[in-house]
Amino acid sequence: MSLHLLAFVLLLSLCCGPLHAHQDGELGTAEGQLLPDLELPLVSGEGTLRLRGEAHDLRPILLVTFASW
Amino acid sequence: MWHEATKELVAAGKLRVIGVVQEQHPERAALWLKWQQIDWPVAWDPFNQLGVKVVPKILAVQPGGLVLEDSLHPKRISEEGGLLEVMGRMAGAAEELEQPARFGPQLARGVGSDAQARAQALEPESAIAILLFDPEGLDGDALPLRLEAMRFLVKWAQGDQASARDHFRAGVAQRMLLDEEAPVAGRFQAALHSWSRALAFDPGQYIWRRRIQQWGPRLDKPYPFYDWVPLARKDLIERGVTPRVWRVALSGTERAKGGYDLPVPQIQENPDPRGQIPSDQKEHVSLDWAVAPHTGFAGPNVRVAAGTSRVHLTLLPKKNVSIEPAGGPLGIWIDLPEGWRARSSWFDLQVEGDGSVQAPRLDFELIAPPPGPPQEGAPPPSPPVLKGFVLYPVCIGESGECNLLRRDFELDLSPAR
Repeated sequence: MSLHLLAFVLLLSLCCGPLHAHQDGELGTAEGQLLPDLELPLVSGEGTLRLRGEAHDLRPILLVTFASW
Repeated sequence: MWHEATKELVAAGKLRVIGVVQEQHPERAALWLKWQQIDWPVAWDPFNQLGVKVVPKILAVQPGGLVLEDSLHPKRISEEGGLLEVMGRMAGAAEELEQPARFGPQLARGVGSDAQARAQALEPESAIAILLFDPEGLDGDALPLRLEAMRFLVKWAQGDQASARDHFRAGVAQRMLLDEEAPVAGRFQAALHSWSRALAFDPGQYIWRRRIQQWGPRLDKPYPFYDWVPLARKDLIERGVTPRVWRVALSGTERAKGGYDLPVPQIQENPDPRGQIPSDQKEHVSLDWAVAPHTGFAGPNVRVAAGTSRVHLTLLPKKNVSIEPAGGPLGIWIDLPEGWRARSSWFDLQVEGDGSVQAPRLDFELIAPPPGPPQEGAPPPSPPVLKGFVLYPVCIGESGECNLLRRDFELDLSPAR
């Protein structure tokens, strides 16, 4: 691989790496990480919520984690 | 703030807002959400499966789970180059969402339908799933399996390879079962010890620190935890909404405001200075103690004298024994060691519940004196111990033999390590 090609691949991975997220990525809540794949009960006690989203719903997600205290 | 900032975008179908609460009791967050008229779906994460160290934390997430931003300001959502524009340029990885989540209710069911087989097949994640998703019982009688799941997490945290997180989770499980069952002596203290061990390993984990501070001394509260509850209930009732009755009432320290003011002592007379009240040698009543330490024991920033704590006491009458508050003083006398402070030396116990579920309780604050300068060659300080006695009027058996009884105690105030 030529030096130019290597540099291009490196640049591409740095720029676009996070765009191609898949389940092997590092788990966490920092930028570029994948949220742990959690389905948790709702506080109401009825139903559950999957944090990574729902199939067929491509809306961006704003996740607010907090406490009432 | 986030609710207002996102209302229009959510209504227009451009954004999905979800919440995750990091609290032990979901009904408290549910009340707050109703009061604040927040209608997002909000999940309950008492075990901190999400792994955050502080709240609040706002994440921009691509469907499929990629975290795009982890410290978002409301302005950054719709402005040029903001969240919506960035997300508009990206393809989500939503096809993976066709599969079940790696952690979810299927883990509670996945260990089989037979309770005994399920108990033997437990792993930490499946034990947590049972505690989160099986409150009513997938197999009719959930409590034995939930107890098994709790015991599994406690045992797991005792292993050589146990992590700080394992200790935290063991504490959450123990407190959860304490709130579900008839009270069990020692379980609350065990939960506090588990959380204290977790925090000692990782003092920078503020979700864990707050779980102790919730029941800990006022001096250690960065802010009041649940002082908003009476106002929320009043406002909701005025709106015509009847708030649900909670299974777990707030303790005194959960309602208290934080503060560094020292209590003004109330002078009280010792009700039994000569020990003339008969001792309850048959232990008709169990004393359930829990000491929530000041979290200054963990971490380099705040140093607080060992023993500064919030002491919780619940009386648990044995079968066929009932507490009769009209029959004499019901409370606790403490012999404050030299230099220590408390609001009083005598505290009344509060009776809650009906005749079948009596559990008089109280919590009070203890402030230890600051330690003197270290002296070379001096022996290590002995663990702080609180001495005193509890008085309780009881009636025993069908015949109703009634007596005022006394129990002396010595309570170790050292935080667990």
